[in-house]
Amino acid sequence: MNSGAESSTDSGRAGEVVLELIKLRKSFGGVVAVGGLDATVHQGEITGLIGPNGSGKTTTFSLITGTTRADSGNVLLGGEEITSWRTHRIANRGLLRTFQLTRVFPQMTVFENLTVRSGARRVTRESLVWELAEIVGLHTKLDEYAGALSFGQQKLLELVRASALQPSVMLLDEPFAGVNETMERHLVDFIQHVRRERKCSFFLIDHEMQLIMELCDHIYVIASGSLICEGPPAVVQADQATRQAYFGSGFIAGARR
Amino acid sequence: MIYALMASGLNLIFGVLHVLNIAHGEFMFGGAFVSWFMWNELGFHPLLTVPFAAVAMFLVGVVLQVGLIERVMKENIVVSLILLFGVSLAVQGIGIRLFSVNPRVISHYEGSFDIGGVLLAKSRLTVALAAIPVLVLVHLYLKYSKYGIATKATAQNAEIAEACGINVQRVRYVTMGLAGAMAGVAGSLTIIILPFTPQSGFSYGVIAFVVAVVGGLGSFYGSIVAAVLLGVGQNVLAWKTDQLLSDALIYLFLVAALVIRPSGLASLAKAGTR
Amino acid sequence: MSLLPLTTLGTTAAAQLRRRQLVVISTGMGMAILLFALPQFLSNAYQTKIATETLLYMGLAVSWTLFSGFSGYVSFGHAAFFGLGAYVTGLATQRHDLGLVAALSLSFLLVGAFASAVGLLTLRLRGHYFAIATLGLAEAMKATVDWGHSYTLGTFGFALPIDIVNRAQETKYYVMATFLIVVVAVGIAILWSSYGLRLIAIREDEIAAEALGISPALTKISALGISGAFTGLFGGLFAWTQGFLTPEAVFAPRWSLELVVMSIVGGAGTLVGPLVGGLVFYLLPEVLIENKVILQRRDELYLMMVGIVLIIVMLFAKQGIFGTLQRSRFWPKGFRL
Repeated sequence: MNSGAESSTDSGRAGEVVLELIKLRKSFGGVVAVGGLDATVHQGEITGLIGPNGSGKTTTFSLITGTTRADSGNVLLGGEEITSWRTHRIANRGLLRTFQLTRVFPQMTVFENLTVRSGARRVTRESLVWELAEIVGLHTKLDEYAGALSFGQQKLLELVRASALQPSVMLLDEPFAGVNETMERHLVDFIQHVRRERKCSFFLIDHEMQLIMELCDHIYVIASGSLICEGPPAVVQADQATRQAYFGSGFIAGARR
Repeated sequence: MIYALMASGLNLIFGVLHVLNIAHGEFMFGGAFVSWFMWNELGFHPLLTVPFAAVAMFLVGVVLQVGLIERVMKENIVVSLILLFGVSLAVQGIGIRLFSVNPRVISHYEGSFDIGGVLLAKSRLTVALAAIPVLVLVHLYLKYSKYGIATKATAQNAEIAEACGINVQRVRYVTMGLAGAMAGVAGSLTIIILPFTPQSGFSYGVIAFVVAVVGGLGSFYGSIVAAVLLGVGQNVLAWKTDQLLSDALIYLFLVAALVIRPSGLASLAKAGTR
Repeated sequence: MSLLPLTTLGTTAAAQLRRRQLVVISTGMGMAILLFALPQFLSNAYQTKIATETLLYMGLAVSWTLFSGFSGYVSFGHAAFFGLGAYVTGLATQRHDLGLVAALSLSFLLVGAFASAVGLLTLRLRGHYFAIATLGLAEAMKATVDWGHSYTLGTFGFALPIDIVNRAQETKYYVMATFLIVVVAVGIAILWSSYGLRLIAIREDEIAAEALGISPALTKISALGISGAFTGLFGGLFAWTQGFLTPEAVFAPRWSLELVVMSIVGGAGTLVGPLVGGLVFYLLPEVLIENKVILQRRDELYLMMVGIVLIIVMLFAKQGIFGTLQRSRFWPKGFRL
């Protein structure tokens, strides 16, 4: 798998490397969750991270954002070593994440959710956040409590809240899980918009194979914490090991709900 | 031993219900006065009154859980805490109305034993010996009975316990009742040693909290160990040095214990066996 | 969709907020003036004394809310800060011949620093554990004061120098009123600032707040420091208005408990809540005593009444009196007070 990772640097992926994982390793009481993972996210790309349940995807995200301390290995953000930094410091350096189960501030209004980081006064001047909110239609709900929004709207709010901080990389943990198809479209459009207009790169986990294949420029497949395949969607789709990993664990690729 | 009864009951409640029972001392008051009443008015032997106190406080605990606490189970811990503080104040008020603020004591055991030069009051010895079988009984219950096991399962993960067919709600009722009964026993034993007023319960409750925290919140056995350590430690320190230093040291020990190992003695033991 | 141009979207929301804030500030100023006019309407020194003590309670409850109400980390240890503040002012005037202003400033600063240190040690503990860790704090302080009796003058306490204490009751009232206004103003400034919003975000979801780049440690420790500093200041004012102090009185666990109860029952996480709570819990019993309904604060009837009120409020208005109002549909959403 190491040779695979090395060859990828000259496999025609456009843009500079913005996020790099080097031999990232983490085990919980003897069980290897992430076993020496190498991966890169390039400027302006949407990179996918897929694998069966329990293969270490979310743990990988936690290791990147500093929520969980890695046993060994490094994380580089824009060439800068951020391993073992505190979560908030990493966030302020331009790496933000969303959560599998949404984490909005329920007793705060949408307005407050959106302005909590930068402060209402600065935000009114910058107006980026409102531009983003309008794209997804949240601007009509500024005075609603975030807890009163539907699950899909909460996902949008989480995305807008993070994008408004102009991150260089965003980690999305299952952005499409549990939302209906209309909302899925909203989310996809929004991600594309932020990537195009804001030059943000994405690293995302999901089980919606069709969407992943459509959206991603590059995909990493992991099973039991190790890389089993990587490449553009077409390559991954054709890969035997990937199919086996999925079918082997009873997961049917491309199945929708 | 009294501390052990109190603190382990508190810990049962916290473990299963995630409620800090600030009215725990009032159960103690209830038990104490059931005993005192039966001894003073009806002429029962003090130790014979203990089961009655236990049963009475068990019922009170269940009623309290069904009537009040169950309604705020889903809320923040502060809500149930203030609710119980309200209960505590109301009980103190009613207690004073019924029994006035005069201290009561069961003066049944007089004199003391002389064991190797150390004087032991008869009453204290009786109480310590009486408390042990109660703790053993609770231990056996938790370990072997169907409900005991269900209680432990609920404490560890209420949702899964429920999914396994345990009536979690009933477990909560029984837990509150059991903890109430233990505090009641603690009360009816305490009043044999020391005078009790309707407002004494509260200060015992505060000490029980300290013991429960040092022992590890939610840990039944940790609190027993902590109670014994604290009881012995406090007495030895007070005897060897001055009383003031012993008080200060014990609370500083508490704060230090919390900072170093917030989950208490119980987690130390777990860390040791890992 | 919207008829407004993009950039004005946020501006209108912010402008609306500012209009409401202006209304509150002018109302608040009006009430502050009333507060200063109040002694004119009180008939005797005893009433002024009760009024002063009510303000003290309100100030303490607001101080508690600055940290615990906003951040959601319930502290049961504010009696430690209160008592320490009282002792700093007491010992500074008694043993070191400092003036009142210097002593109170010392209380403010030292207790603020002490609270921050406590925060540094305990705020790693999340949720319940923090609350529990603070339970023993006041007792530990009291025991320490008892133990260090050669310096602290021991279990029986001491009186403050007569030339410092001996002031007209009205003077004490005005000083207390001034500091209550200061702490409320600080509270509003925090609540309406992005700092306050960050604190509330931590209360709502600490992990999400951290993932957005908010430092939970820094935010919480600084808030506890501010809250502790004001609690210490009011402790100092307590020592000054009472004229004497004992460890038993100032480190009593009831201070901690009553602050929690006043603030939560008044309105959890709001600024008006502790003011309402202080009024209800301090002034009401005094009015009842005055009217001979009860004889004293520890009266059995009073205990029963308070107990039952607490039970009812927690069963039917879990956010407290003002908190429930603020959550109702009559209140503009997201307008915090």
